[in-house]
Amino acid sequence: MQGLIWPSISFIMGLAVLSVLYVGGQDAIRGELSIGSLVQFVAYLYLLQMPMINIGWISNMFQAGWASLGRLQEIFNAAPKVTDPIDPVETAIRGEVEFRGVSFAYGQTIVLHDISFKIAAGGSLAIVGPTGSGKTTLVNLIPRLFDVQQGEVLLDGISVERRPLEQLRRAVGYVPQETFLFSVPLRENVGLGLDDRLTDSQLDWAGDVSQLNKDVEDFPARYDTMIGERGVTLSGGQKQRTAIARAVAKDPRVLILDDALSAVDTYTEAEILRRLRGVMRERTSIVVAHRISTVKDADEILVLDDGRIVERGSHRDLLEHGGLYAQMYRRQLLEEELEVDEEREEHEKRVKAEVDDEAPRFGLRPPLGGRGAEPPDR
Amino acid sequence: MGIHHGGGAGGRGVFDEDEILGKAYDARLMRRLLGYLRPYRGLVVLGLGIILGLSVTEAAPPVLAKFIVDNAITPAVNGQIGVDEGLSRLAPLGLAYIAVLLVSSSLRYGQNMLASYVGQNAMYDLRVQLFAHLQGLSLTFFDRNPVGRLMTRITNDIDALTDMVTQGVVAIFGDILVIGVIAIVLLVLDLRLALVTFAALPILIWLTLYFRRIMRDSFRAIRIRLARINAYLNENLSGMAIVQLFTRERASYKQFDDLNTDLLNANRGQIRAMSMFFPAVGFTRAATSAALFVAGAYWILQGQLTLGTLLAFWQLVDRFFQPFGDLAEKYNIMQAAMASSERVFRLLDTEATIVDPPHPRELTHVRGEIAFENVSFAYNEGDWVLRDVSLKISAAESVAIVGATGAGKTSIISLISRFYDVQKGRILLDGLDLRELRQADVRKHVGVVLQDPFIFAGTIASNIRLNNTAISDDQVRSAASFVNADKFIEKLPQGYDTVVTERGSTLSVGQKQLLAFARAIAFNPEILLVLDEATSSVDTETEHLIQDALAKLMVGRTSIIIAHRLSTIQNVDRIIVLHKGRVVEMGSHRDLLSQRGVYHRLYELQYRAHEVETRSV
Repeated sequence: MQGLIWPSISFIMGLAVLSVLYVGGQDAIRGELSIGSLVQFVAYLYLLQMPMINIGWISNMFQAGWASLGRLQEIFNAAPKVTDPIDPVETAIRGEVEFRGVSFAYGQTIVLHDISFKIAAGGSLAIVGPTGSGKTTLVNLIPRLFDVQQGEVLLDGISVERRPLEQLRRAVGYVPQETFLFSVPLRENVGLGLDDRLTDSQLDWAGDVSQLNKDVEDFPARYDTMIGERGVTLSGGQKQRTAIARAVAKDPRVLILDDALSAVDTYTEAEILRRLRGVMRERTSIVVAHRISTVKDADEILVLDDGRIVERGSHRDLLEHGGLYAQMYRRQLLEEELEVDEEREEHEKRVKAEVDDEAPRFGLRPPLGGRGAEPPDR
Repeated sequence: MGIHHGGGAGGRGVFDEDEILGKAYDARLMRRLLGYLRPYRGLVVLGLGIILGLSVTEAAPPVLAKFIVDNAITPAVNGQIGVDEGLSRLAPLGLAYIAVLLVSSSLRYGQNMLASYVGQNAMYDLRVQLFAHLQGLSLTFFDRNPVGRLMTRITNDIDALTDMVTQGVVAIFGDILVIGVIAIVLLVLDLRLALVTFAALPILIWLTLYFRRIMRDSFRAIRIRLARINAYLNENLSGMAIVQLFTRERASYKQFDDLNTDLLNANRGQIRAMSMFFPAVGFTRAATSAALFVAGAYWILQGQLTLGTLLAFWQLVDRFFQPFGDLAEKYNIMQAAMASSERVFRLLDTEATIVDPPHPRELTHVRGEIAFENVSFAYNEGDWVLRDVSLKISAAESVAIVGATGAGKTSIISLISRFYDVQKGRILLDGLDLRELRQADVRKHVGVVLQDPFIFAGTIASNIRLNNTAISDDQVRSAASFVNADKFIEKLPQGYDTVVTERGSTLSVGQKQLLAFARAIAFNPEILLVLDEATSSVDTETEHLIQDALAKLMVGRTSIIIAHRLSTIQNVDRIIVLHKGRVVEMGSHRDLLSQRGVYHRLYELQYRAHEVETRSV
């Protein structure tokens, strides 16, 4: 079809010129029209040509534009579901978190059934449970990534929906399951949640808590290292530690770790947890994890299955109860037994490397991943 | 298959690829692109002929108009000939005019069709070549290059090239011819008037050269800024949860605003250039017309020029100037196409890291003996997945490989299929190094059954024979019935002709697995690799069918099975226990259990727990 348009237009325009010449020519020959007028006609026809073609072109553009406008309108019309309250309560946040009969569904699928718990400000809660049991959904409700459909999520006794969104989210430090970092220098990633530029001491502190400082030692540009596609590619563990540093640097009242230590080896995990406990003495922490070692020291542990709290209590209580948690614990002990030889071997290697390392950075582990791990049998 | 790889590997430089700007004309790339027109040589020559004819017929109507005015109208008006004579001269000239118009329109139509035909076909060839090339690349390449980016190469980039072939190159060539023909016509019609017209040429050429530089710069500036905005949007939209959680909305709005302002300024630069260029060309054209009329009127009054000639000049000059006005558009088409071709060719030049040897050993009769000799393997340099693995599997032996997650089980299967090459040691098939054989030969004898097999959009039967027409309908049916897949297939509405969607969403996991068994049996490989990891939820009846089928499949074949079913493990000749990339134990189920080593613990952890779970559910 497209191929016909241009030939047709030029044919029709040609015919128009010919008609003027032919009909006007006859008139001119009969003396009814001056040659000047005839030439004038032809000239006008030529001038008309471009505007006529343009009209067709513009109507095409207009149609395409109109369709695009409709699609844009759809986006503009989408109303945010999570919005600032009309009458916000702006009292300072201490960090007491409470769920009162919370249920939540994505469409028709109910993900959380009647969840209730309370963590005192400065307390700690751990959530375990199989994949798809609703752990991530539960913690997402606190910084209002979604709003509950039933029940209430309270922060210091006030519904999170009544707090100014910005204040709420500033008070919550969140380390998501899937680490997402921006393609900017490491320092900017860590300072993402701060209005002002991150100070060196804040950076050093956050980097120490998250055990990121040790990795950064190996980057030539330290914290100014560009990351992402145009810079260095971080390992899974390094990414997770950056995300932890990012959340800690915000100095949050409530810290949420959603399976945020999964790519970190158990040795570093223990180091991070130990430091976090110090940091979190004044703050509320909620930890979602699969490893018992991560959760066993929490004030309360919730075991979630299919959106319901099936067991709750301290590590000791749950072990005595002999349910799902105790079963998980036994499996992990067996797994650890499998790991233990390897871990010991690696630990010994690490200690040896530290002794061998004469550089001033004594006491640091060799770089993670890559270079360190040659097959030992040669 | 569940092949894992380091997170966010590679990518470097590929990002920059989208910022490749290229020149509007690059002889090296152009030569290579024109190579794709070679198969259509005849049509290209025909097309060039048509363009030549077209440029003549485009110049003809104004000349005919001249004759209508000079030979019919003017003499009749001036009384040199009679009115009737004038009218009778009008008719044949009018007919000739129509004839020229018809010819010109048909030629234009033909030329459009031809250019599109050749362009589309040549780019079809390129697309197919690109796809075939991608198929030959090793999996490592796909681990590093996101699917979206590769799809852009095959679709958008090739579209840009099609535009160039059908519009850019042809139009530029046609324009040059039209300018040439019109120049000759002008010179023949009236030498002096022609020279008046050509006086504008230096100005036009200067304008074109001057603005070409500005247009190139602003085109680049716009492209770079667009690429930046795209990258920024991509990151900030996919990381929206983080943006909101860390209350970055204002900051990232500000950054976007900066980038957007940059783009606006770049666009302004282009608009500024265009809004100077177009009026400048228009003014030159108008000035030339004015000069023509002044000079023409003078010469007419002197009796040295006819009115018709002046009229013809005036029309021809219009067409003569037109290509200069379209320049910017063509420039954009060419530049975009050059950048696209650079990217496409770079992809085509990416060499497969796994290649057939120049003089492959012939693989005629396969017994199916597999040996690993001191094999070490890493997906990412230094990150060893298999460490110094040596094992030997005799022909027709069945072996189960067990180990915890990350022990390297899947890698063994990938390596036997030669999806990757080992870094140390070698893998032998019937005593021949896999790297000395053709990949196709090896894969012909190796059947792989995955846990969640890939189902292609098509029918059940086409999914069993996988486009291999040598496999008859009867063979498809007997393969299906051998592996117990016939029962569920026959229950489907159209049996073997039932249409399944991509990824087989209409089939259950168990059904897909039975289908994959049928696929393996239809190809009758000497070596069978089964990846059967513990993720599926299969009802007991189907589970029974699968176990039965698997047992039958293993008979008389070298079978390597990564098993999660205890029954399978108990049925194999030998169990190989992998731990952290090393072979730690080997033997029968009973022997290994009594050793109370890694296998015993694995058994406690995976198999017994699994058995307990399935029983309790």
